[in-house]
Amino acid sequence: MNLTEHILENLPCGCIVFGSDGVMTYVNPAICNSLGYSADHLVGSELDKILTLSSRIFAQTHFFPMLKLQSKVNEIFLNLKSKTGNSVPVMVCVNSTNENGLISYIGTFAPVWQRQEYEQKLILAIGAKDKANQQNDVLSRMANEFERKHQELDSNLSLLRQRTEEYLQIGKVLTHDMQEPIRKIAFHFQALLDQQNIKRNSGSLRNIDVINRSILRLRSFTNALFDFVNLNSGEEVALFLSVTKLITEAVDEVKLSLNVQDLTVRIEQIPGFYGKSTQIKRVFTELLKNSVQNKHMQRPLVVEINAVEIKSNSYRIDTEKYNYVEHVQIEFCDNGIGFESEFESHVFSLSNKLNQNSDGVGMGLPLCKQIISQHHGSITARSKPGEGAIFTIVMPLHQS
Amino acid sequence: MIFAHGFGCGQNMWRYVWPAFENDYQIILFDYVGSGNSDITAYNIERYSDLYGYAQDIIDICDNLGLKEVIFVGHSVSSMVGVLASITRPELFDKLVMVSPSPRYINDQGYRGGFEESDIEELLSTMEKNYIGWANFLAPVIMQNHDRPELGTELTESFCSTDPVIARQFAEVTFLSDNRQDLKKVRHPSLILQCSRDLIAPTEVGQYLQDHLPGSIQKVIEATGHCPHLSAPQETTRLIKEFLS
Repeated sequence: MNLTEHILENLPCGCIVFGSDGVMTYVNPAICNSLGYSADHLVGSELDKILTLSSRIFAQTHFFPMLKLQSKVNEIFLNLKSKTGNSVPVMVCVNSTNENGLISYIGTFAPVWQRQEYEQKLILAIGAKDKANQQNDVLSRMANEFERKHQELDSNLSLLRQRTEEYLQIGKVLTHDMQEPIRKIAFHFQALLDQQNIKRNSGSLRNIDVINRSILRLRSFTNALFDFVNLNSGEEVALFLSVTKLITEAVDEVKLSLNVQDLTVRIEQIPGFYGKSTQIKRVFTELLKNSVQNKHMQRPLVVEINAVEIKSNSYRIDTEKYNYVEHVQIEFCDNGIGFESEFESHVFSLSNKLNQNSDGVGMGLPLCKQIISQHHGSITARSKPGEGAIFTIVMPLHQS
Repeated sequence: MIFAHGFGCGQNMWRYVWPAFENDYQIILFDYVGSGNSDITAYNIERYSDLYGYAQDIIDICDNLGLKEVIFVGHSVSSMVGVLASITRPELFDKLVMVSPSPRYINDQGYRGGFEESDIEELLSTMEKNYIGWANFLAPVIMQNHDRPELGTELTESFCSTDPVIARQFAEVTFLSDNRQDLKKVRHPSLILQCSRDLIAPTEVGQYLQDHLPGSIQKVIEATGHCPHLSAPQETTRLIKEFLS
């Protein structure tokens, strides 16, 4: 035995030589002793054989890639697995050698029983200290933030209160105070018609028809505005809804009120969520009406409604805050005339009716958006002309 | 075509694969926030405590670049990130390619993911203990491009996850995730690339995915290990091309 061999055989730490395929070509007695294997059992096997499962993952995701790219690693902590299955904590250093183009790695594996216990304590202590510091930082930052937000919230609330009052007043003027003159016009117009015994020639018939239709339109417009403004005046509470049932009811209502027969609605099982029953039903009534009003003349109207449960961030404005909670995402697809994609957000604005030939007053989709916003959800639309429209509703499972 | 890297690495893991597609597709490579050369200051603990936060990275990239009909290629945990992104915004995607995917790593009743909870705890603690040797991971690395000499040597800073705290959280989110219930919601055709002997995503997991993912096909790669895009890039590229044509 020459001196080099003598040193290797008596080295006080484990030594393993392995190839770039991870197969071990040499193991010294110290590593065999630590793991309870004989050299014959290890030489020719992959390094994985003596790694615990978690160390194998670490080896694959960090250790080997690093070795491949840097040709060496230093001071890496790994758990080896002994023959009996026990863990042996080791500190690993590896160098690569290149002999005649053949790359092999020489590694030392020093058990760190004592040191690792000490390290463990150190890590715990550092972890606790970091956590305390972090919490301290977070707390003081939060205290400032809280103060600022509180102030902001208060100002916004007072503004919001004022706006809401104005909004309700305008609503009242627009709806109630306008209904009365409309009623009067209709009444006196009819009286005029009866009294004057107007000549029923084609010219005046057309005039009468235009006036009558305008009165009807004004009425439905004020009614729709009234609904929009008074959405939250009721005392309805949020309950867990059977959404599939609500949609089915909405379909029946729309078929009856608009007197449509060729409307096919395919509903997949829609997961339930918490919400105000009449309002959520109203959303689907309005969406269905919108589909009927924007039906494609060349084909029977088909609406498909499906849904998936997803997680979505419950914070909507603050871009620094994330809280992924359960939501139900519903897709409402029709095969109607559709619209240009540039109008995707425009369709939810008040009275922004795109289809000038339809009977609607342009209040249905804004109402849907209002209801869904008040349920802390979102609604978006996408479409291409001639290809129908898709409305995506994302509703939180719970109303906090 | 978006290539999304997995846990423990960055976008340069794809360097042997993406060039084969650059003539036919617009190629998007990126590092998740907290990985590779990303801007660490953009890391948000709340956002990245859920795989949906990583899915939002994908959606943000699509929205910012105006991408549509995306072919999403994800490695390892990124396959599930792609699943979540495709469920949330189906209109953005065309097809999904999953390289060594797994919907759940920990064994459960009647399900074999390959790991026990204790294995994962040990992994997290191993990562924590390598805090001390972490400087190694941060060292700049010179990488030779033997096959593509025109690229010369590229200086790759921090090949691996750059920040120990972030890497640990990524490991936690990855290995404790359970996306089995999300598979049935996928509506896009998908390719599952399963390695022959993969410690992290064993063959049973590939079969489970094929059985539960509607419209999926599974191809078994002869290469072993968890990173066929590094160890068998030609086979990987060929199978992806077959799937896309």
